[in-house]
Amino acid sequence: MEMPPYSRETEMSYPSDEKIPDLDSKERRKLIGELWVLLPGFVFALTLFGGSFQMEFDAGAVPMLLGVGTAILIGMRIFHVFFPDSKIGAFKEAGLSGEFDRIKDEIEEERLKNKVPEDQAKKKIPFRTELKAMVALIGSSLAFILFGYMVGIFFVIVGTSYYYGYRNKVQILVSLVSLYIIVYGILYKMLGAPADYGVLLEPILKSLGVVY
Amino acid sequence: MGELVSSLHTVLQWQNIILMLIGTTIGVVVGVLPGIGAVQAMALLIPLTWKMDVRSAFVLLISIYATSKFGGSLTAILFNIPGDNPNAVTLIDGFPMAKQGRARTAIAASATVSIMGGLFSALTLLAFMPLAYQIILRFGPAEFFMLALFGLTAISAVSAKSIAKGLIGGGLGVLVSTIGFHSIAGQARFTFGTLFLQDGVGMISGVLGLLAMSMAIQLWMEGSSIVSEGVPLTGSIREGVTAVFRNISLFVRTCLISWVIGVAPGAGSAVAGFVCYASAAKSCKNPETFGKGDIRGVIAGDTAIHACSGGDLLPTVTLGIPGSGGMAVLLGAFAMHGVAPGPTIIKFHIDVIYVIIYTLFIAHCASVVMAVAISGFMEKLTKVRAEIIAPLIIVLCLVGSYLTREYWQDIVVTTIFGIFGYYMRKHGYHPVSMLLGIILGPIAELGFYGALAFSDNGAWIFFTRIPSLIIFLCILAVIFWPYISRLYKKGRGVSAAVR
Repeated sequence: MEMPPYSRETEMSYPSDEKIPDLDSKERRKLIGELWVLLPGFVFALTLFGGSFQMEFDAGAVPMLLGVGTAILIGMRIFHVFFPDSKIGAFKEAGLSGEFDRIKDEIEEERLKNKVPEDQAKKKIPFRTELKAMVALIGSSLAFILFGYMVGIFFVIVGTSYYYGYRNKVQILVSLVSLYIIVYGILYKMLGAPADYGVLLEPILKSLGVVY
Repeated sequence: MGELVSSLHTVLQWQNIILMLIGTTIGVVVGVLPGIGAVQAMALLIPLTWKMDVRSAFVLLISIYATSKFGGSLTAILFNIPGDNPNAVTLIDGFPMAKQGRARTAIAASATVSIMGGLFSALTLLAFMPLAYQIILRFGPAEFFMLALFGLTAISAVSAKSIAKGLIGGGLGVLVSTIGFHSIAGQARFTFGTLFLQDGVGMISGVLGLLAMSMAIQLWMEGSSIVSEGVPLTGSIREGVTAVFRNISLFVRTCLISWVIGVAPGAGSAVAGFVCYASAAKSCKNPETFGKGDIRGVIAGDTAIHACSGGDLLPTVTLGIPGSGGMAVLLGAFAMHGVAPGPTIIKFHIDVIYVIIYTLFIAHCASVVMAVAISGFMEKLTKVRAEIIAPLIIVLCLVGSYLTREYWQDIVVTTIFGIFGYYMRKHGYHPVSMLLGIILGPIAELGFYGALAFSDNGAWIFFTRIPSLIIFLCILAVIFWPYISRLYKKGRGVSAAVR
C-alpha cells in the first residue's frame, strides 16, 4: 500500500477514530525535558491560585481564575508527559503559527532539496553543557549581587571566559575596557547611576572607609 | 502641523543625530552578529536610556529596530548566514545571486527596498494614526480588556508551536503581573511581606531575562561562531536599483501584504517575509527561478521585512498591544519613561510618535550608508565567538536589571526569567507570550474592573457593546482557527471528490 504524502496537517491532527502512534525514546526524552517548564509553572500557578483565597474578591479574582486555568492546562500537559499515549494534553493544534511554519517549511524544502548543509543541522545540546551554562549564569548573578555591578563585570567577563576555556587575552581585555567605558564612564560618571558594591563588598569597603 | 515640524527639529538636533548614528551602528552590528538581533539589543539598551529625554531614548531604540534587518540581509547575501530570524528569507535568493557573481546587485536591491520600505512604514504610520485615534476614542474599559485578551491569544497562536502552549506562557505571564500592590482593592498580593515585591515584578526584568538573557544562555551552549566562507563582492549596483523599479508592482503588493501582517498582533517581520515571498513566487511570471538567484525573491522578502515596521508600530503605539517581540520591548521602554500608549500618547505625547516616524525613515537610509561603511569588517564580525558575545549580554542584562529600580533582587528575578525563558524556547513555549502576559495583564485587569464598575448588568457589558463584541469574536476566531481551517479543507476535499 502506498503511503500518503507527508504534510504538517497529517502530523498535527488526529481524527477521533485514529490512535496516537507510539512515541520513540527520543520523543519521550523530549517530553520529559518539558518538565523543566511545566513543573515550576504548575507550582507557581497553584500557589497563586491557593493564595488568592486569602484576599478580598476584587484582588483575588484574576489570580484565582487564571491560576486555576493555567494549572489545568499545565496539568493536562504533565499528564501527557507521563502518559504519552493519551490524547489529553497532546496539544498538537498548531494554530496560526502552524500555517506560517508550513509556508516557511515549503520554501525551505524547495530550496534545500537534498542538500542540507551540515553546519545548519541543529546541534544537540548535552545536559552537561546545559549545566555548565547554568552554573556560569548563576555564578555571574552571584558576582553581581555580592560585589555590585562595577566589580561584578570583571568577574563575569574574566571568570566566564576562563571557565569556558577561552583565553584570548586581547579580546577579553577589549570586552572589559569597552564595558567599563559604558558602565563606569557613561552610566556612572555621565548619567549619574548609583554606586553599588554589592551585599558583601559594600560593608567591607564601608568599614575600611573607602566608600561612605 | 507645528508638532510635526518641531519633532523634525528635535530629531535633527546634534545630540539626537549622534544617538541615531550610535543606534544605527549597533543595529547594523547586531544584525550582522549571528545569534542576537534587534530585540535583544533593544532590550539591553532600555535600562541605559533611563535618564535620557524620552524622545532621545526613542531615537536610539527605533534606530536599532529599523536598521538591524539590513545588516542581517547583508550577511545573508554574502555569507549565507541570516543575521536575524527575518533575514532567513533574504538568503533564499540572495546567496545564490552572490554565488553567481551578482552580490552587489542583490545588495543594491536590498538597500533600495530597505529605504523605500522604511519610507512606506513611516508614511503609513503617519496616515493611519488619526484613523486609529478616532477608533480608540470610542473604546472604553470593556474594549481595552478585550483588546488585551486579543493580544494575548493572537500572540499565543502565532509565537508558540501550539495554541495551548502559547496560552500557558501567556497565563503564567499574567499571573506574574498580579504580584504586587493592587490599586483598586488596595491590597498587596503575593508580596510575602517584602518591600521589593510591593511594586510588582519589574517589566524590564522580564524583558531582559526572557528575551535577552535566555538567548545568551543559548549562545553559550551552542558555543563558537558560525564561520562561513564569503563570496566576492561583484555585480552591478545599477542593475539592483533598477530591478526594484522594474518590479514596482511587486514592491507595492508586498508592502500592502506585509503592512497587514505587521498590524496583526504576534506576526512580526519574519512571518511577513515568508508570506510575501510565497505570494511573490505564486503570482510572478517564471516562478521556477525563485530560490535559484531570482532578484524578485530578494525584493519581495526584503520589502516585507522593512515595510511591516509601520504596521507593527501602529497597534503598539495607539492601543498598547504589541505586534511582535520587538514591540513588546518598546512597550517596556514606554513604561519606563512614563509614557502610556493609547489615546493619551496621541493627546499628550504626539511629538514622541512623530520622532518615531522620522527616525524610522532616516535610520533606514542611514543603515545603508553604515552597512556599506562596515562591510570591510563584516566577515570578521560573523566570526566573533559566542564565548565573548554571551558574557557581554549577561553583563548588560544584569547591569540593566539593577539600575532600573536599584534592587539587587531584580538581578535574581532576571536570572530566573533567563533560565525559565531558555527552557521555554527549548521546548516550544515562546517566551514572548509570557512577556506579553506580563505587559498586558495589568491592562486587562484594569479594563475588567473598570468595565464592571460602569456596567449596569454585570459582565454582559463585554458582549453588549459592539466594538467589544467584535474583538471577542476575533478572539474566538484566533483560538478556533485550526478547527475552522480543518473543516474548510475537509469541505473543499468533499466538494472536489463530488465533482
